[in-house]
Amino acid sequence: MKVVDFLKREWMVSELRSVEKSDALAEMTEVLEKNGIITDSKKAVDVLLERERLGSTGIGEGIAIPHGKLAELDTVVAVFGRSKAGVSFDSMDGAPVHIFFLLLAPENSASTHLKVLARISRLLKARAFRGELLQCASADELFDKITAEDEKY
Amino acid sequence: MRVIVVGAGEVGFHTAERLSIEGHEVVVIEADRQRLTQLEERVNVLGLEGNGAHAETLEEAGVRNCGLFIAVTDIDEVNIVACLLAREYDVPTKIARVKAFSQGGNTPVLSARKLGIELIINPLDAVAQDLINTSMHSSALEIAEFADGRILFVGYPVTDENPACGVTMAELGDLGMVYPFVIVAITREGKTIIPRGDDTLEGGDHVFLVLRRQDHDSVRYLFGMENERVNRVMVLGGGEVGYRTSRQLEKAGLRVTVVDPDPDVCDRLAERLDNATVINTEITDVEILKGEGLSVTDVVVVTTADEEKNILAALLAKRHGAERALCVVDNPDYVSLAPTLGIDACVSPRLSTASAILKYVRRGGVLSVATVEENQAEVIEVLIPAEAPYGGKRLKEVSFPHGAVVGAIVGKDEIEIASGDTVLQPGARAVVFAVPESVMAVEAFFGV
Repeated sequence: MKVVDFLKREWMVSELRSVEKSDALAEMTEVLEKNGIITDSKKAVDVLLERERLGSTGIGEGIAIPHGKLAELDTVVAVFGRSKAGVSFDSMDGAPVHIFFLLLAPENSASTHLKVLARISRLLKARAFRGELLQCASADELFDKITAEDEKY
Repeated sequence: MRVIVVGAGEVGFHTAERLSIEGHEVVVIEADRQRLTQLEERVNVLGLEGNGAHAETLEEAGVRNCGLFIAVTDIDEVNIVACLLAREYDVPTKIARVKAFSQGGNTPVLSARKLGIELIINPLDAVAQDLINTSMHSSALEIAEFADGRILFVGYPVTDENPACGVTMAELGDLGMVYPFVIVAITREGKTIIPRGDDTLEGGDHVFLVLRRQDHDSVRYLFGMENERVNRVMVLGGGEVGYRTSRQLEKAGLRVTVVDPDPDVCDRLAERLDNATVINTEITDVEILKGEGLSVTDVVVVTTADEEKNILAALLAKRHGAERALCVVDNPDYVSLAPTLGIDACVSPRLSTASAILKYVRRGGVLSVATVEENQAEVIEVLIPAEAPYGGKRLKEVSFPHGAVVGAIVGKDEIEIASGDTVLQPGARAVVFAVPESVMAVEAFFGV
């Protein structure tokens, strides 16, 4: 299983404009709405914020992996977002978030949701990769970088 | 250490079996020849036919070099007298099972302290405590607290629909950045497995984790159990166990309904309980129970002394919409039968007593202990000694006993869920899971 099985080139937000949590989540879920993957990005943001209330998915060192379950989906989908300025996200280390992997899964995705989440976590463990993501110049370059890293494991 | 167990009934049997597996030299005194033979056939202990309340029998059992004395016959008086005798022989730790002795009651005339017995254990207290723990945490099979409640040890059932079903340990380990927990064990078909990276969770498994309390809500989410909070509890049977369970649950803020067929019992319950609703009817009277909200009840706890009726009432409650049913059953054959009938958990006064005794027996550097799944394993909280040769080393650099896993390290200010990079800092405490065969090795490792 690869991350790029669930992440499309068109779903990369290379420059997030938002600086607040819910705005940033909205910016990323709107990409899915525009592409006809989901019908209501507000609903998706609610689901993600509900999960955030249990504990922040901002895992520190500028990374967040917001995720949630959405009944209308029939497969797991991922959106990538990057903010050079940083988004305040109640992260575990208090630092702003620069890199987002947002994940939405169907209600009954069984283990796929966990497996994709595990794989993303694994990719993001590599410090060098995290640094490279911040250096990429464009959405295309970001997508190629993620694809290449995804091939390594 | 030499251990003397008086009484080879269910409690004595389990206690002796566990202590013997852990490597202690166990002598069991029992008046009934047949019980003794059965015990000796199945457990590696020395049996002695006789009365544990007689000094000659105790001398024959080696009471003079005995480190731990456990009197758990069915007769209170025998247990007390046996412990008083053991006290005369300077046995350092004495434990008596006494049914007519309650910690929950008003000021008792006699106390363990006055008698000079270290622990007096009432099976009703033990069973009520187990019922409370099991009913409070929906879906969790087991739950125990460590480090003053900051660390939890929880067990979840894995169904085929569970999102974690089919996921490998390595994958769950990768999730650690978002969901910090350690899987310390899986039980599968009655066997306890210490999992490795390539092991996969299967439907029907029970999975056991160590995590921080603050992460419990999110971890429940991960395992697809976020919507299973307990609010409404119905306790069927208002005897001593039913009363104590109801009392604790109402104190914890749950909505409790207690049902008993005896109007006098109901009057007393109404006086002693603050918020619980008391209903006077048969525990199998489904129509009335439905009128009292049975179908929207999260947990039904059945506690009468009639175990066949308990099973029946639990099954009826499930049939009519109760989310979960727990049941007090003491007959060991019924204990293993009940889950196959669809009852979610059985609590046995004897097993609860045996497990409470084992908890107490761990001493010295062991700060806290919980037993898992009918004593198949233990979780202990233990101090890392100042002079430990591995002090300051990382877990992956240390040869830790087989059959045991470090779940968390509790430092002065912070709690770390264990990984290979976790440092064993002297003075910190470790929360460790161990199968029975490894308990001694773990204790030796920590110099306990």
